[in-house]
Amino acid sequence: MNRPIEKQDFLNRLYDTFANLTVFLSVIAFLLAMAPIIYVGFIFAYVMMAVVVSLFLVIFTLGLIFTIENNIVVKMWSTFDKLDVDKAMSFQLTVGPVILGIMGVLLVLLVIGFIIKMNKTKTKPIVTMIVGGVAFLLLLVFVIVGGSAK
Amino acid sequence: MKHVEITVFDPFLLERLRLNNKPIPFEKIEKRKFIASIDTEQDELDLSMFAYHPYLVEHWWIQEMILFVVGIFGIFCPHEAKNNVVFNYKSKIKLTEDRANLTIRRSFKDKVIEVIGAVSEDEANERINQPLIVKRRKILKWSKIGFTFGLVLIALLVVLLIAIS
Repeated sequence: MNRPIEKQDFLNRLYDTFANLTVFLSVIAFLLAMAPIIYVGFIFAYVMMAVVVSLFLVIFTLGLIFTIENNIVVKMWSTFDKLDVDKAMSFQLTVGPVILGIMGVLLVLLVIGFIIKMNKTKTKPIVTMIVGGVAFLLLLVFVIVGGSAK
Repeated sequence: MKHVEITVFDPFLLERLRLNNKPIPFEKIEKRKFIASIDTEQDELDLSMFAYHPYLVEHWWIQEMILFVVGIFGIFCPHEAKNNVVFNYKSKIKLTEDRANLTIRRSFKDKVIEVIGAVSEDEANERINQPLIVKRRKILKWSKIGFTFGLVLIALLVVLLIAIS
């Protein structure tokens, strides 16, 4: 209350924006890390989270299957349907990114909906920021580990 | 010496209320109860409300654009000011007794503020529609569109350069 309202209001809005961003990053991180520890405030969000994770898993797996070269789908097609491997490869390399793209759009939409939901429930920003920070670190660890494994 | 206790139940008023053109030092008593104790020699106090709107501050454009950029095209930026109204309130509070307990409330009817517990002479107590806010909102809208298109163009150029090289 010591700051003038002009500064205080701007700082509040900036703080909320950062909080929202961390929530976004935390949701992405959790989806990637599959860690079932997210602070959201009430049960509905947990149910929604479960739906999101399931959807993510299904679409991500599909996307992954179609994107990785020489995967089991291509081998099966080439064996049983006597399909040309090159054609199968070109097909999977077209479909794979499309599925991954749909997954990305779906994820972004879900996360935006999630954030709007969280704003309405007035989750304490400091809690979301801490959880978001931890989750983001987790994501970083996963990315680094994944990168080094490659 | 006169003792005045001002009670407010609305956090919205805390930072906006001014007594003799100075912010009032409120203390939180309960969850939504704030009290300020003031000792004064005067018989009359000037109570006013600071007409705040994010689009009327000095660096409004820079502030809004920072929020737009940080909030990734404004997606993560909450609390967008959608109204064009500022509050115009100024009144004189008359202190007839040595101790006065004032309760200040927001009014959602014609007035902006209601003062309970003392005689007040309103000089202004109204909501004013500010055309400047509308004008600045339009400027901001086009600035944001321009910024987005600029960024997309730069991204396309970078992709093209990478593809060529």
